[in-house]
Amino acid sequence: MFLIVAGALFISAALVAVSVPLERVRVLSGLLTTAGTFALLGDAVSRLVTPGPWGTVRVAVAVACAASSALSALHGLSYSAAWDGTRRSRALAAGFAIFVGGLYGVVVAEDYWALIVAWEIMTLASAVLVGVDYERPDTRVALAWYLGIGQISPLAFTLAVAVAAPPSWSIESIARSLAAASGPAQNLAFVALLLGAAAKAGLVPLHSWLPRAHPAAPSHVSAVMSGAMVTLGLLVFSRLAPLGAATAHPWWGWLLVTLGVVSVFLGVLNALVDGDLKRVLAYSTIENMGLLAVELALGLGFFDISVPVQRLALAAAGLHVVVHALAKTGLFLSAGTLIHLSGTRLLDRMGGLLRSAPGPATAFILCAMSAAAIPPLAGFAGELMLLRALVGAAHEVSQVPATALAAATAVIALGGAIAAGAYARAIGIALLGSSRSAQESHLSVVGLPEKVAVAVPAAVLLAAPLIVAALGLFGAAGDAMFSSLSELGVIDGMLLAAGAATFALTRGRIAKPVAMRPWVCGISTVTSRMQYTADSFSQPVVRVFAAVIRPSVQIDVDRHPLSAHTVRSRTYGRSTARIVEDALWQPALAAFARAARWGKRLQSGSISGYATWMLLGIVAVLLAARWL
Amino acid sequence: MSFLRSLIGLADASRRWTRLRRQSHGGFTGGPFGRSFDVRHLDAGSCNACELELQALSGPAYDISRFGMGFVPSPRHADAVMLTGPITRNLEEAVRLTVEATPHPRVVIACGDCACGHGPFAGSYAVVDAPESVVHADVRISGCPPTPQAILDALMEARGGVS
Amino acid sequence: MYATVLNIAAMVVTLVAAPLVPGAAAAARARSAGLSGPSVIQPYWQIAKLLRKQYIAPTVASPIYWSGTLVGVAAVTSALVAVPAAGGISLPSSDAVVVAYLLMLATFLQVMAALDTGTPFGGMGASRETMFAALAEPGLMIAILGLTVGSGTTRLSSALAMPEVSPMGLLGHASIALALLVLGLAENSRMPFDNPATHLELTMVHEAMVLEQSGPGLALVHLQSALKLTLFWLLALNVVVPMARPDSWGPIVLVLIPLALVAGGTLLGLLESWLVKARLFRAPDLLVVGLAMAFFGLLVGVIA
Repeated sequence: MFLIVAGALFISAALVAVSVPLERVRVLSGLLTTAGTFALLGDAVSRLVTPGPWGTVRVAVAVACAASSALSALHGLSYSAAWDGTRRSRALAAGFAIFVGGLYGVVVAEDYWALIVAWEIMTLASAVLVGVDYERPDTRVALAWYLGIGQISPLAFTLAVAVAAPPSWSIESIARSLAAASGPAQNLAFVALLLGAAAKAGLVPLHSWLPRAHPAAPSHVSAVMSGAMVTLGLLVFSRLAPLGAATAHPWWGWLLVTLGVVSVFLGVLNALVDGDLKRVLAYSTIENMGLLAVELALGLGFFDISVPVQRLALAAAGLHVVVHALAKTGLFLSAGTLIHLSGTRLLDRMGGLLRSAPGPATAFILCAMSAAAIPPLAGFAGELMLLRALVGAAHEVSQVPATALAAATAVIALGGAIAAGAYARAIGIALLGSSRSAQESHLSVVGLPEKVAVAVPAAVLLAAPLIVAALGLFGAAGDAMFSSLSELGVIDGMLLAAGAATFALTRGRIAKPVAMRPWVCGISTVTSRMQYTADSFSQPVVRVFAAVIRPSVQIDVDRHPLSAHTVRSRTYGRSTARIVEDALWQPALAAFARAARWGKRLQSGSISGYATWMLLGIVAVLLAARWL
Repeated sequence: MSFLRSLIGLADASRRWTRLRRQSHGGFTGGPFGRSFDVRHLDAGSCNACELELQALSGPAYDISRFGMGFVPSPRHADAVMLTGPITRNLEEAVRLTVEATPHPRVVIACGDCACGHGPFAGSYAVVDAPESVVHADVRISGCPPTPQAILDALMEARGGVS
Repeated sequence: MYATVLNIAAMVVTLVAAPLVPGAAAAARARSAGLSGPSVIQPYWQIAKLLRKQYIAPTVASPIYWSGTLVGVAAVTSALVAVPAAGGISLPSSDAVVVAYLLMLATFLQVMAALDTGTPFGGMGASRETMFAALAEPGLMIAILGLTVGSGTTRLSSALAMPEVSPMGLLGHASIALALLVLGLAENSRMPFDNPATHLELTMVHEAMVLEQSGPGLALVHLQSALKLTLFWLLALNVVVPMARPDSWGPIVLVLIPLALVAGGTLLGLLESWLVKARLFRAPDLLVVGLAMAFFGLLVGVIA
């Protein structure tokens, strides 16, 4: 019922977007879209309360999609004022309505055709949204990558379905057919499904579109893409994959874990190194999808481990999906507001935004702490459950797999610490200190919808552990997911108590500092340019991991024409190598281009040539049909 | 080998420690600083003779650490700013900023004849006319350079309740 | 009931006695250099004096500046009381992952408070501390997991329930203890990673982050480093002597804890007077050695 209401609202929002006068598009269409997303939220909550046949992952993805869409639609009500009065505002409003409709459609689809149609609607609508600022060259490149890698997913999924050769198009019958298929067919289907999931989730090596497309899109669109859309690939994978046969093919679980762990490592390292705020968030999404892949590998039965550990991993996956959606949505929405306020996307031009925009900046900090899995925010509960599941699994399997799982644990631990460093850098450079540039944007007012939209996820992530812990005291929480949250809530209580005791130790004087100019070794003029930049902050870690990041430094020195010893200016630039692109994609694209140039020779322009090719083709098909 | 030497040093110092314990803290218990006094040394154009005497204070012969005193790198951490040198014009602003950066309660100590205003470089074109015009010194130590014992006595006096 | 009272008393004693570790370390370091040296309880006098002094914050700083220090102390306190020797074995924070992440919270907030000053030294200290923490904190977690993984959970209580007889197990424990030593030196900004007594800003790591701190803020910074040192020392002690807990040993623990802390501080001071500070970019090599030892301990725990 909710779905019909939501669908109607989205369609009317799209129609309104293309028909009403330009000045009214944002508000009217936006209100309809927001109402539609609230209907989706109602549907998702009803699934949460009565899951029925839906699994943990599907319910979690539904909640994530609905919450992310609702918050982004609300945010977009005032945020998309930047495109007001242009024809693009129509594309933005209509595209967003169709996008969130298609997104949720993928989650609720019971039929493969419905799923693929919703998937394509979602992809095309989001492509329109990614390309809204199409005059920028990096947006066009981002669009090319997005559509290019994006088409791998539906093709791979369709290949898996073709291999299954099911009697009907419903998802259940496809899953049953795959479960009953022969070994080689199952292997092929698994690889295809994993390829499709990895392309959508941005797992290495199919991640190259993510750091380009997510920053290029408007921030409220990036929020939905990064918070909710990336999980859809893994959702389809979990619904279709022949999980029952997984223990017969042990390399399946290992492939998934390897993809996950590599994504975690490369994702956080690049997050620590990149200089664009939104790209840092995009790389963090890659890391989180890697974690989700490991959680699903443990929780869906790819390893021969006991049921409690599997349930713990699955609960971790479900909680992670919801918490990540909230945190990433909050991060992108507040980043969008902060970018509009400061007029730049580069970390090195920002600074001091916590004092100029306390609301969005505080929301950014809280959501960042959750995304980095730092207590007391709710994100830590997911990380805790994952590590416990890994330890439990390592304890149960035999020695060689246990070693590999221990290595995975170590890399995930390392990833967690580097993620904390990456977010500390993003927050410290962009929000704290003083502004590094004098740039002022004309959009200096933060609208109320934006303020509400960024405050909600931050408040939920902060309060959820405490609320669940309070409920747990009254015996209301029993599920593994909630027991971790309530444990975190008790830890939060300990932190509050210790903090209060420390505050009392200083007799409250810690909260009342006297403001004075900083000491800075007695330099008389301290400018904001003297602060550390994002590049300089990450330099030690870059040096440690230079083999992976492969930095290259360009220094240009402009000397005075009359004296070679007098330097007028120096320019320093550091770039990092994109190892996967250089090793995999550039050669692949070059080979494809060569093959295409060769194929052009078939188009000779002569009719006799074409007739010859058609004759040969028919003969080949007849022979194939004769022999197969 | 050096580890063994440190062990021997430990044992040896412990004997002296028992003797000197009675002199520790100079029998002092009150005042705004209690039993902890941190000094930030600032070289305002000194010839480094005073610095050498200050370094002797951290050595085994005078050892200010047994009195809970020590040198700290930042004036924000310090209770006292110890000025050496006649305050050259180049460092005038920095001296002012350093003393202002020290949180209250604080003491300013002028160490040596130069900082007191009557050293060998007084009246030079490169130094300020009177160090007192830049920053008021609560404790003055004369001498060129003053002996470490004199500096230690002045530190005790500075710790003893000058605000 | 009696056990709970004893545990709480042990927690209080541990928290109160924590400044003895840096005090004993400074005293031992001074005495092995031939000085009479400061008293072992000097940190108490310093913290008491600092609590009375004026508190100054830079004009560009936000509330993160002071709340970061406050929550950092709270985080390390919550982690410290959860160590078995301190009596907190039944607390929810008595968990390998939770302890490591609470320390990560403290470092995270310290880094942000340093960047909040808007000074280049704050950024320098923060960036170097991030490099150390990126390697040392996972190493800490992996080391403690090596103790707990033998029972399949991450709770510290399970780490002490396992009887250790096999030579492989002893080797694993030794590796973990060594890893805790190396990573503890890095995490607490001690030699050879960082000289706590240096005055040269370009050689500072932790000290550079707190150059602008004064008064109560600086007192809390000293308190936090004392608590963190105590945490690492008690963890290492529990690796070697797992049964050192208030409920196993009784009220004698309340006297033994301060003595153990003084002993630990003395050993640290002697070690520091023997080591020299390594070049900054040699420190990651040492940290990776610590990480490798921790990982070896984890492997032994998983396989054996």
